[in-house]
Amino acid sequence: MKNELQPEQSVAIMAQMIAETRQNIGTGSIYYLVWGWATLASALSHYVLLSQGYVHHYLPWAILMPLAGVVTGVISYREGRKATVKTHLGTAMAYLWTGFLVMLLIALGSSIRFGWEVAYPFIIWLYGLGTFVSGGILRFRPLIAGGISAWVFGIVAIFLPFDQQLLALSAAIATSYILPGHLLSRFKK
Amino acid sequence: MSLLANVVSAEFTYIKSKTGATAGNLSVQIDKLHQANYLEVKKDFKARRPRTTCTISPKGKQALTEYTIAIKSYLNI
Repeated sequence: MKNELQPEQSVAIMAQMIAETRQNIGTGSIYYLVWGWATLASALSHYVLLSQGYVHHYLPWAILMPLAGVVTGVISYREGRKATVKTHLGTAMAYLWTGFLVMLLIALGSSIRFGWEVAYPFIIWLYGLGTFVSGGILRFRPLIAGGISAWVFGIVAIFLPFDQQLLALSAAIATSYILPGHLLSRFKK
Repeated sequence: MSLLANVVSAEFTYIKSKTGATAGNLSVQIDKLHQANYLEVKKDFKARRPRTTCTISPKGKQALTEYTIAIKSYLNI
């Protein structure tokens, strides 16, 4: 007897295959956590060093940001080697965060011209944009809410002197990266 | 085809694990779909091991859409 597929079976297989492609959204949580904690630690220690009058108060950024870059670079490389599928979700996230990095570098570069006090609110808004859009892509509300909160802290930062902008940045990072990152990690298999 | 329609591209091992098909059966299916121009198949090496990556072609997407419409119409769903 020839083993022919019935229409109902065909539909069931198609539905099952679509379900199989659903990605585990928790896998990306490590990136929010590494960058979130590194940025929070940098911003807070920068604030402390600045308030104590230390000359090289910016040093935490110079140490922690490259370190976070190396850590996430190694994680990303290992994941890339293990990956056997390229998803639309992963591609959208790659474009988003590449664009984010380019804009962050532009904002950091323009601070030379306009000063940190002007650049910081833009950087905070940029952080918010990253989590807002990625929350939309992943359909994960804490990231969307975190993005909105970062925008609010960015607006607050306009009215603050530079040292206190570091506190606004810390609050934005805590609500838009660290908290959603921990919530997202619960979905990790 | 449904599996590939929902991703950018997938390696042979991924398709095999998700469909539960045997390697031999899957190879034949991929070959037939490739010959019909429904799939684009790329063969290269990853970590010194041969790798086969499949991508659904625009013609394959069109055929799958037509098949889905036909089957839905047949089942009244």
